[in-house]
Amino acid sequence: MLRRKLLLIFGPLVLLLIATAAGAIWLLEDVLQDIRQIDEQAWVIVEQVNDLSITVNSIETKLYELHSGRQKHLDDLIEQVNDCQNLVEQISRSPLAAQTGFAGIFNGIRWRMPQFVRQLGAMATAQDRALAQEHLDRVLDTAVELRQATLPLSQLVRQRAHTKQESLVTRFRWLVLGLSMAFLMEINIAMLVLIWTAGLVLHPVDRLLSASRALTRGEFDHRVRIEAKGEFRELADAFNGMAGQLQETEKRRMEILGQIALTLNHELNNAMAVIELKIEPLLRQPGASPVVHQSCGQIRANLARMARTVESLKHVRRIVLTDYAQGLKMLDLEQSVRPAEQHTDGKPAPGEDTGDVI
Amino acid sequence: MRIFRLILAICLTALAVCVLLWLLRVPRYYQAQEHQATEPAHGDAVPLHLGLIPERDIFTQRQRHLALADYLARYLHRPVVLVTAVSYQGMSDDFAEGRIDAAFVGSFVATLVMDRYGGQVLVKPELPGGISTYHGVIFVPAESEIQTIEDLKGCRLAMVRTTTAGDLFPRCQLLSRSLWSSVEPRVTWFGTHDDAIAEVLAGRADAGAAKDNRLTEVENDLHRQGRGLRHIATSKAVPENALVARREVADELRRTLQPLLLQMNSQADGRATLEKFGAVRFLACEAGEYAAVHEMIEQLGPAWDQINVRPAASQPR
Repeated sequence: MLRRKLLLIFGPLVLLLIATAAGAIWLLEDVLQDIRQIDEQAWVIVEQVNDLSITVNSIETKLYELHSGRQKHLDDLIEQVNDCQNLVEQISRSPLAAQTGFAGIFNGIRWRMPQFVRQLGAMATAQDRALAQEHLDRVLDTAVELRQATLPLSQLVRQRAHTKQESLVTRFRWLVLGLSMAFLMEINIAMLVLIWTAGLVLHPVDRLLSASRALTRGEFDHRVRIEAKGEFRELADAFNGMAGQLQETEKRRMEILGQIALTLNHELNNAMAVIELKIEPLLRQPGASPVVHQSCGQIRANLARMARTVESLKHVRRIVLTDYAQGLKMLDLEQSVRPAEQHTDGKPAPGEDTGDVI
Repeated sequence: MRIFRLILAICLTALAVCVLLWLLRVPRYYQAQEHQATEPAHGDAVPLHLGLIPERDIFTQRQRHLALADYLARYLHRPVVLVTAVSYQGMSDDFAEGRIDAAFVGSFVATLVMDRYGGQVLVKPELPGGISTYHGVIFVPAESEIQTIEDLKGCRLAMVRTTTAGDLFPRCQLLSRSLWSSVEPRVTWFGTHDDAIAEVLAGRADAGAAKDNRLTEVENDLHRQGRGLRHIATSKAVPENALVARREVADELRRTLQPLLLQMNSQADGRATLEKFGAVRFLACEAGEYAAVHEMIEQLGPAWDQINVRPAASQPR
């Protein structure tokens, strides 16, 4: 029963801790996801926009080289234009491309790109020098426009990424604070539960200890009361049963003592009455010496003491022994006739004899 | 108490597993970088340089030839590098200096490469519709008053530099009628046949010269718009853009590259590559198929010098 109770108490506590830990991981993972998103959406785009600007610059250089006759092959140019187109395509797939501000500038680049490619193709295939020059002028103008358009784009993306990162840092700070509070609260709850659980064990143990002390004092009528069902209730019941048996045994012993006292009282009273009858004529004799009077007085006093002792034996409530001689015990009549005082803490009452109780 | 310990241990193990799973989800940038760095290549094999001359759309042209280059590299076990020359002159220099091993060139350039540098033509593509040759055509708008070559005197002419259809053929036609000197100052040169056709359609030229393949495509579109072009002269057939090998490597490429190209259409991946390339298959091509070009060059005679072709850097024969 106690194990089940402990399991029911500690199980939810452990589950609560695991749930909180899982929640913390989930929330932190969410933040990490956002960080990754910033990396993918913002910094990658910043990099792509920078690459675009660099590629457009490089294309411009290649075009000048072609025009001056220093370059006789188009492969690098074609590859760079393809890179340019791929970069524009990649940027356009980003969610940022649809956002206000960014879309305005980026659409300008997207719109110019096919025009740029057409002009470049025409320039590359024009065999007429004048025509090639005309196409080159156009394509260079477009290249300059493209390069100029990429500059604010990069700045805008960086700015937005910075803002988003700041908001993420704030969120992360609150998250850490919240998680710390939650764990602190859980630790407090765990401490309270542990204290309460300790009470479940310590209270019954205290009562049983107190009862066992009372039993030691001879308070056989002392009983332990535990309301809750369980191992401690069973233990208390067993203890109470044992105390009841001891009480019954004690009662029987007291009855026997009473019967002995009655017998003694009867026999001693007869003997004392006879002695009294024999003393009386001695005292009435004329000329009785003072020594006789004194002796008879002492006999009478001792007879009265015997009568009191026998009378006390009739009123013995419990057996309290006291030292008579070395290794010998005798009944402490004065204590034995007194009722035993009950104390819940198990300590003897003030002035109570600490003699042995059987 | 034993059950309690057991449950506690299970819960802690579950928590540890959750943490490990979470850690496993951390992105592995370094692995990605290592993967990129160890991408396999063709080792130390000598690359095959394939030359190209810009046509209609240099970007599409490169994509088409890149597909073919990938296929060839896979089967030749050596890298195939595309080299796009700015002009015929550039390609001539590349051939002369050994910078390219073979090139896809038009019939006029193929003839020059064969004659000047000892190049050998290996294959020509067959386009959808069974087309493996083309004709040069002199054309005018359908509503034009020009009816014959003679009517071209003093007209504005759109021509394509260093091509059979756009340069050699109309030049021969005009020269044979002693019209070249009067027409030549008014010729506008273009890099592509499409540009020359567009110039005529835009009304900036009275007549144009281009290859019939491109012309037919444009005419189909014009027909739907109720417009048209009229042909006033057509040349003999010459091979489509063929693959010409440099003299020094011609024999080797005839053994390795030619059979590979000729058998492309018999393999699934070859057919897929041909589709990307824009052809149905490759056909064997011989120097004799360029007889019409030679005839035209012969016909030019001393006027050959007027063609904007530099003398050969070295004459192999």
